[in-house]
Amino acid sequence: MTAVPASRCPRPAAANDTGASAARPPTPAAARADASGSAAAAPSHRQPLVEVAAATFGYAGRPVLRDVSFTVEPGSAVAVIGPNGSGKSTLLRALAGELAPLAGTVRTTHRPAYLPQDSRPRSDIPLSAFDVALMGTLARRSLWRPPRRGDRRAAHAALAAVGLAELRDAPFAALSGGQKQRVLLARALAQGSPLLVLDEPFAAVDAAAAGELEELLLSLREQGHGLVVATHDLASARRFDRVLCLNGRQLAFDRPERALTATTLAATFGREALVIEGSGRAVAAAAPHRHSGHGER
Amino acid sequence: MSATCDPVAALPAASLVAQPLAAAGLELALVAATAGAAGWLALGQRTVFAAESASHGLLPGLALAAAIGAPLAAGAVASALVFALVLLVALRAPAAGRGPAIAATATFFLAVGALATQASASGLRPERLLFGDPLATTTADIFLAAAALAATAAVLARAGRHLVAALADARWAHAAGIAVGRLRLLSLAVTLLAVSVAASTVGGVLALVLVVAPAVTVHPLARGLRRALWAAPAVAIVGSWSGLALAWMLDTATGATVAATLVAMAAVSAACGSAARQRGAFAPRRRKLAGEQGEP
Repeated sequence: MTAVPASRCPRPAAANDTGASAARPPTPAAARADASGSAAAAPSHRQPLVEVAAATFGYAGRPVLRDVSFTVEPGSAVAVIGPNGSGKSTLLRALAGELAPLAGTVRTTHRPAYLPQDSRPRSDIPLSAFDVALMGTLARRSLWRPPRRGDRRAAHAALAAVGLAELRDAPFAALSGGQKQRVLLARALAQGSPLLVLDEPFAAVDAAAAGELEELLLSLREQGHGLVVATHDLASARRFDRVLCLNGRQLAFDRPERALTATTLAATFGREALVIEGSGRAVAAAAPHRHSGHGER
Repeated sequence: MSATCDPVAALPAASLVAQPLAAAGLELALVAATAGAAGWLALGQRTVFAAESASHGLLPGLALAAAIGAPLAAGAVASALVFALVLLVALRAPAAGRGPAIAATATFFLAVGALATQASASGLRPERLLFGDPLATTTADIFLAAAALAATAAVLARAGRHLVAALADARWAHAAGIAVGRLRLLSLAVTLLAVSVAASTVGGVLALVLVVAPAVTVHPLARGLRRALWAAPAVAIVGSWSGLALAWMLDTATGATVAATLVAMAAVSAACGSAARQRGAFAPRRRKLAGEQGEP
């Protein structure tokens, strides 16, 4: 069974196996059909941007992640947590359409703007921050159609949205780690998808820059974007609308206060989680691990 | 201006009249612009070694074209296509491995080219095929070079950003739905075309210099893709003309002098870029962003 863009198939009724209801009020989806900026294409109503139902994922027929069911609605942010090898990157690859589920269904209304964990433009090609952001608009264009003025405006607006308008001409390779992550986020915004799928976007930056990035990501909810973000930072995950706990299978999908309990975290991380005793609240997980090859196995 | 200060008057051989010089200059400008524009793709593909080997593999086509009186560029393009096909077969050999397969294929084509040159009854000078002779440019060569430049410019204008995206961040480009595989093939085709037309002008041995050296020259000083894409052809033209002028004034082999000039420019650029980087000239104009630190 493969990931099927909903635009090409009848939409099923929204299903959420966890029974969690949408917590956030509807947020205005920012129209972006004119490629005028970083806002997402207007999603239709409050239909889920992502629907995953009873899905199993794996490689070469061997499952690595089972029993996954969740939805992502416009204007909501889902944190995906789990230890290394739990299946986070595998799930995100499937959402991006790189990997077909072995069983179950994955439906997305749009091709997501996907930021793989190990994706970063090469430093030996002279790209400016604007060049990288402009790449995002290419996802909407066929091979022989170069970017137009509207695309350039969209790239400028995306850089402005991440606070780097003044560095648009700076060489990408000369930027700091946090600035590079912002530029990559601008590239994702310039893709114009209402669904952002980001694999550990805070992994290569210091804590302060990660905090700024987190603020930026969460602010995108207000523009109608749906976010799926893999993270090792439990404190950060608490600020998302939903938390999806994985460790070879789905252990929880719920609001943070209900998902991030000591019991669930113990089942998710085992010994890797750092839990503050007394409050029963976990505030941090194991150090991020950069993968190579084809994601987590 | 007195006659002694006139550079044309100082040119050595009586046979070197203005017309061959103009033809060579025009041919070199067209070829250099093509090669310079394609240089980024050769570097981006990280296939410079394969391209270098391919330039040697052009010799049979060059020899055949010279023997039958066809434009050298046409022979080089045909040879490049055959070379690419044979290389694809060689790369499938289970015991070979990439490097040995490329080296063996290139050597085989070089040997075939040498034999073809020897067997030719046209009085063909092998050194012309190996090291080029821009002063022997024909009208057909110029038209072919112009056509190659037009094709390269059209590809880069229509698909240049896609090409660079696929080369710079293939993982992301694939996830974004960009046809990375097709773009890699397109990039390879543009590179082979550039190497072929360069080989017809500066010879099979020196052809890759014309493709790679301008991009290498621009790289240390480039701050963005658009400027780099424009600067590389400009550098290639300036370097080629400088080499041509030096060859006339010093009475040296034209192809070799052009190649040496381009390499010298790349070396100077690398030194300047290194010095500028040490002075912090490439640091981004930085707006104060709380909490951000530079990468180690």
